[in-house]
Amino acid sequence: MRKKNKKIVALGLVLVTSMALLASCGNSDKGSDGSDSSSDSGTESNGILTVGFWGSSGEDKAVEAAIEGVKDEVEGVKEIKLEQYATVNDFYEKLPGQIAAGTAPDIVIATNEQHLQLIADGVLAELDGYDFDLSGYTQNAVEAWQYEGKQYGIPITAAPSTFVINTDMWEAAGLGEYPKTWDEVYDAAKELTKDGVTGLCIEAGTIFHPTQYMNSFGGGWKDGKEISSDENVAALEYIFKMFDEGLAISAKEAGLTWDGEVFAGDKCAMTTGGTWYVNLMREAAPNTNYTFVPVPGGNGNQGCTLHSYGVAVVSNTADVDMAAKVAYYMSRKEAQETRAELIGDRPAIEEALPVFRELNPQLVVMDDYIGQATSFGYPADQAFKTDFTAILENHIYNNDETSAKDALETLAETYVSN
Amino acid sequence: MKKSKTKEVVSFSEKKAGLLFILPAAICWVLWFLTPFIQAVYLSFHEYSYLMPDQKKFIGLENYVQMWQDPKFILALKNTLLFVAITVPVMVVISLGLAVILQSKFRARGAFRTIYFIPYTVAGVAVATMFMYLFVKGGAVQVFMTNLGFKDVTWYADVKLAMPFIGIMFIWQLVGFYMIYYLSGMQAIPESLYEAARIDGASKLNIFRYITLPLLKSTTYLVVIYSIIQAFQIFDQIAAVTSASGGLGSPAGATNTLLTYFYLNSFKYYKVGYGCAIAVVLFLIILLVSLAQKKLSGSGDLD
Amino acid sequence: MKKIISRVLFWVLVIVLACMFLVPMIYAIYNSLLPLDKVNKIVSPTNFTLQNYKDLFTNYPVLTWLGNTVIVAGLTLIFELTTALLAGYALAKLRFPGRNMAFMIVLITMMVPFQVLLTPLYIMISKLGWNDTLTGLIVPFMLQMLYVFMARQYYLTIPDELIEAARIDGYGYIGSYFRIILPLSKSIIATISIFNFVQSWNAYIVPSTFVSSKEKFTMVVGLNTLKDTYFNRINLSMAGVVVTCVPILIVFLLLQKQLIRGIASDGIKG
Repeated sequence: MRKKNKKIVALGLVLVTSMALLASCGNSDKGSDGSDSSSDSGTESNGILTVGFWGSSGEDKAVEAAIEGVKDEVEGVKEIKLEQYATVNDFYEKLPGQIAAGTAPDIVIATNEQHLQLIADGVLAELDGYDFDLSGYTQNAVEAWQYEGKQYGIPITAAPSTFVINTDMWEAAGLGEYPKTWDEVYDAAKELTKDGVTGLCIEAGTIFHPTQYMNSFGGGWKDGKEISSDENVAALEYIFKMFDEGLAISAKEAGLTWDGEVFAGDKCAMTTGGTWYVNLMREAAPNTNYTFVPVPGGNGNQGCTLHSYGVAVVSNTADVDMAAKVAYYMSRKEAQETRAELIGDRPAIEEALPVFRELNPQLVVMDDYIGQATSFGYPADQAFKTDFTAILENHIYNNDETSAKDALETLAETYVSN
Repeated sequence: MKKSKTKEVVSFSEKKAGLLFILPAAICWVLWFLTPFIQAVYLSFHEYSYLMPDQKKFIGLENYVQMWQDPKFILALKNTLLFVAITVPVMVVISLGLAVILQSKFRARGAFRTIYFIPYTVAGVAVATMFMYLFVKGGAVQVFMTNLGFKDVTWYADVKLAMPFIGIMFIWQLVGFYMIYYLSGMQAIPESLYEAARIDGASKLNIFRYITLPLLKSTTYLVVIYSIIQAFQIFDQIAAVTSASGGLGSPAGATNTLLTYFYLNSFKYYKVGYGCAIAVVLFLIILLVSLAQKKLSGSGDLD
Repeated sequence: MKKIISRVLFWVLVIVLACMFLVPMIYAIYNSLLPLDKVNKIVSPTNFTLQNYKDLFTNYPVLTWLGNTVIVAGLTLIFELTTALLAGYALAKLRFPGRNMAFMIVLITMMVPFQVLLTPLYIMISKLGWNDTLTGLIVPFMLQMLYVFMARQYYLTIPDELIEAARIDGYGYIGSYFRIILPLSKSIIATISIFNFVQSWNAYIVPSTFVSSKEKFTMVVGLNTLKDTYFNRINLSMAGVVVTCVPILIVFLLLQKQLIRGIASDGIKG
């Protein structure tokens, strides 16, 4: 009997001790990461701020450069911690849970693609009351971070989307000037589609690329106000036509995950894209020659989307004023120049552009047409993206025969907002 | 509290031992399962988004009613049921077969067991990359399958072949797991039984039918139930294949299951309440199917 | 003659299956030895380089990630074995009030997908201050109903006579478990250990949600950051996959002998 009791007691002690040890580990961390402060309603802050952002190598160094010297500039800041999310999806999926748990970062760096939900739900703080001087910033980028007249983020990059062409293939096909309209792209694609190469890559798996077409035909989603406009229908009809005639390929069909891989893998000759192609091509296809041109126009119109990273403040942070000042500091010219050097992003401050132009002469062309770049304008309901993608996928992969007009009108019934 | 049944009175010390032994598990269960689960069910009766954590709107059964009019939900339901109905029998049979093969004594048996188990150890994303490479149009396996009569397309881009593609990945990855479990169950069968049968001149097939299979009943019970549960809860494979291009459930919802649809609603559409309601319905369906399976195959458990 | 044919068929089957199962590892190893621009293409072995592995270990805190994963996997295993073996035995052999209901609860709990519990659980552990700690990855996962179920099924196959014999010898119910049954549990311990180890090792969603500092990442979460913001560096990822797989396979090779031995030869004669 004694042996049995001893064993139970021993087992119990082991379990209890290990739990106690673990519990004490947890508590000591609680003090040091300061995340508790963000669940307070702003009365006290311990000077430790967390900056959340997504991306990997290069991105973290750019953020580190942005926060350098902040302790001298902004009063009360003791330490800045970085929290890195693996991808943009991770960021948007984890952030709500963190906000509910009170562990969200104080400052976030996000893009203007999905920020509308955060702003509309009050997650981001208003930045108007601080009189930050945004006059030297690219104006449509500043507007991209506004909502109902108020400022919710400070832009640190501003780049229009672009059209990328594989010049080796272009010249081998004996084509002349680069295309300025989608009709010209259609003709060129006919010449370029051969020997395992498809002329144009239209990445149907994300709404980013089809939206370029909507905007360039003079349409666009306009924050959900116009889904089945004639311009959008024309754009979708063009997309359908390209796939129907075998002149376009999506990443999935090519067995890859996104348009960049298709282009770098020599599976297409042309695609819509952005500044990120510079780094991609340097690493994945250093020997390919390519060029950037403005996004072609449709039916006499012109347009594309403006992509902008911005720094924003999470509204339930302990000290909003301090966080706002840090955010503004992080957007300064030197930080944007460093970002251009490390990652190749196009700055949102006019004065920082020369550095960018020097590093990426082939992207200087962006200066010419950035004025016509507009916001993404997706409707607030995120399910819209799934349903729109389903329209494309049904057409491409399921030989669905619904016309562009019918498809968009059905979509509009569910999602159009007034 | 003594049970006064006709045959036996269970001693107090046995009851004490039993309750003591389940105590650690019970505590963990209440803390780490019951509490969050009740919360999730509670949320299913509300309209709620984690972005605005203080705003809960009670809407009763509205989520539950709404889902039956949601075509995406119906499609996800259909996909889920079909998937379970097909992959579970295949999985159980193949893993049992593998276990039988690797049970017989031969040299390098250990090495082969390791090899058959490898798929289970490789992280889901790598498996997905691999399979996508093989099943893309022009890929090694895809070409082979086209010769067998399948449509000449990239499997995971085709609305009809995408789910079978996921199914193949799923089965491939998990047969090793169930095989090991069957092997461990087979170890419990005393060698002496096989000896006696062989001396009596029984054929291999009969030995299997009349000795191995019945004695594997408790093992098989777990394999069947757990593979049903796993098939209903498939998620990682779908996420690995579709989240990069097209989003969960692409193409056009062909790979959407109840669980991926729950995930989309909770984490992408910011509709936590609706998502939780879908999850509760999924749970109830699994429960129903398991009960039905139990009824059909008797008690399923041999003491 | 028949014997030879069946032997040959047997071997063909075994080897074909082996190839089917080995293909991913070969794919992963192959791509991990290539620079990014040669990935997924068939090239001559002269292109093979260990650069990816070097990059992996120098540019990323891979050893930290491995260490974290070992700690989390190891500690969770100890706790899970404790809860699972004890509860499984009780459900199989000890008659206590509520036993049937308890077993129902085990089954029903397994039917709830854990993604549903993810965010409420995260909020709970954040309130305890365990977010972004390894503790948060261990304590909530001290119980897995699957292993309770497995233990129960295993203990069902142990003859009651053994326990009777122990009790006749003077041990109580608790003592007879620790003295007699536990030493016979090697097979189930090995089984649970292998499965749990693989699961902890390859876990992504939970460590990714609960932990936000790079230094506390586990292996798969860390590997996810190898992707550049915009694209996948397949060669690095595959090197990471290989590095992740190796410890698992070592553990498996060590433990699978336990599975072979079992209790078949340990004299359970009525």
